[in-house]
Amino acid sequence: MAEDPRRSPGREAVSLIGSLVVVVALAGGALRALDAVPHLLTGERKGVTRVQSIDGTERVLGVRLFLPAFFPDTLQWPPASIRVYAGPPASSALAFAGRDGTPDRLMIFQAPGPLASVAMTLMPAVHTLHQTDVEMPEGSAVLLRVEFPDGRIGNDLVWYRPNETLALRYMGRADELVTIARSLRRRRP
Amino acid sequence: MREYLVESLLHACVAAAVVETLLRGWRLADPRERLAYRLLVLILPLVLPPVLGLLAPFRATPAFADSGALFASLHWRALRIAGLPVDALALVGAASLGVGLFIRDLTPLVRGRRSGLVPQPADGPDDLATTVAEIASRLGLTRAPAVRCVAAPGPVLFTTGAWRPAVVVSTGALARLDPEIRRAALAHELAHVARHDLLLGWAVMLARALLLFNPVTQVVARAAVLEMERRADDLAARATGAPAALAAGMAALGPRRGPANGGTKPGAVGPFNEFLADLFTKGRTVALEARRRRLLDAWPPAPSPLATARFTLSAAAVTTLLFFVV
Repeated sequence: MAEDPRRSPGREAVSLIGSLVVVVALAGGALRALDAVPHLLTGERKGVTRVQSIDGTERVLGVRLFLPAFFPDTLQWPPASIRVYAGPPASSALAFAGRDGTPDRLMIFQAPGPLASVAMTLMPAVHTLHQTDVEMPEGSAVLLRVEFPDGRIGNDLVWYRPNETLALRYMGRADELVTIARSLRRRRP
Repeated sequence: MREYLVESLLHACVAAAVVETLLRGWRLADPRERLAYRLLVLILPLVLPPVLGLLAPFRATPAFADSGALFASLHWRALRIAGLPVDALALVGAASLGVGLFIRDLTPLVRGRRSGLVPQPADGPDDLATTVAEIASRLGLTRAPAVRCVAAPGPVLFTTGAWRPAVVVSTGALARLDPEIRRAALAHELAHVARHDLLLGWAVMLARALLLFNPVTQVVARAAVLEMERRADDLAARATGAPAALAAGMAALGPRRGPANGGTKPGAVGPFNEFLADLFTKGRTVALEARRRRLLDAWPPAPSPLATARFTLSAAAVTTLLFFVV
């Protein structure tokens, strides 16, 4: 990029723009690479962000989250991890560990918006063993007995409400999961 | 607030890195151009985050962080060291460094003002006012600044007063300089007046204070001040036609290190202060020597072709790049 005083203005302009493009492109590439480091270190998929607090999650999603009023003693509060997928579809995943140390004992997935669906990046696919409809105060819900890829058995409850979809994944009894789901309340300001 | 501080810090880092690469790549030698680029790096982190926050609020959303941004601090917030988010730790570390650098440069100023030493007026040579008026006229100043001669054995020569500038010169400085070198040294001070460097210096200090937490700003501000000095060197050398005399003046009036040179370290009490004082003097000596060599070996600097277009395009490119850094 050394300047040559004998160069014509036209060549000078081309050289100037070329060098500027190269430097900005290199800077952009370096920034992109740095941006990818947290995903490499945490193993999270692109687009998934870990958030430190429920307040922070609500700020990011722009809606109040649902939390269970019934919280079994077997679970630890606060959530062990909170992940947000910016979308579309935007959704969040709150993971509660068990008091015995079991990770992800209860997971609550929430996708705000009408006809929303929880992002598959947050709620990995499982094998459904059995499915039944469940009575809920509003909307419709399905209770699923599922098998995880590691062979463990658990329960999913997917609840389609008018303006959001809630999904709960629980490593425990199905009736307890339904009770937890029915106790879900939106956080107040 | 934390998001704003982190974004401002990131903008300063990116802008400084890109501008430094461009300055080195293009080998820009004219301090007027270099100063413009330095000021750009100072201004962007101060202005851009709040302006973009107002004009483009979507930049703060996770959707932009994931799909639009080149770099998003939100992603780094997920990483934790000792239970603390990485971005908060980086901010605390940077803020400590930034405050340290700011205090380092502010201390001599405050110490100078609190020293309580009131300089005694002294009579200067008869031709001093005439010389100043003549150089001021050459520099395009409609009114020559006042000249205050003070009785002091040390080599003191500086300009003071942002609104009503005055050149202060000590009897010690006058004794050390022969007429030609004295003329060049005075021209340098008057060049600061002609270019309103005192006002600009305070503006730079204000930017430093506002971005106290940002070590990059602190370093770039120092570089900007150095460019102001080089610009004044060039103007003085053009006005007097004697760059070598100006270089000789720097050697005569510049900081001297160590007792062998008769130098003292004011306020150097205790090993830490002595270390800092040594560091200041060393830094000033190196910078002054570089300015001297530039005047002797590489003067006059060749202005770069298409300077205005170059700067405008660079500013636009850096601003565009920073748009995608959140």
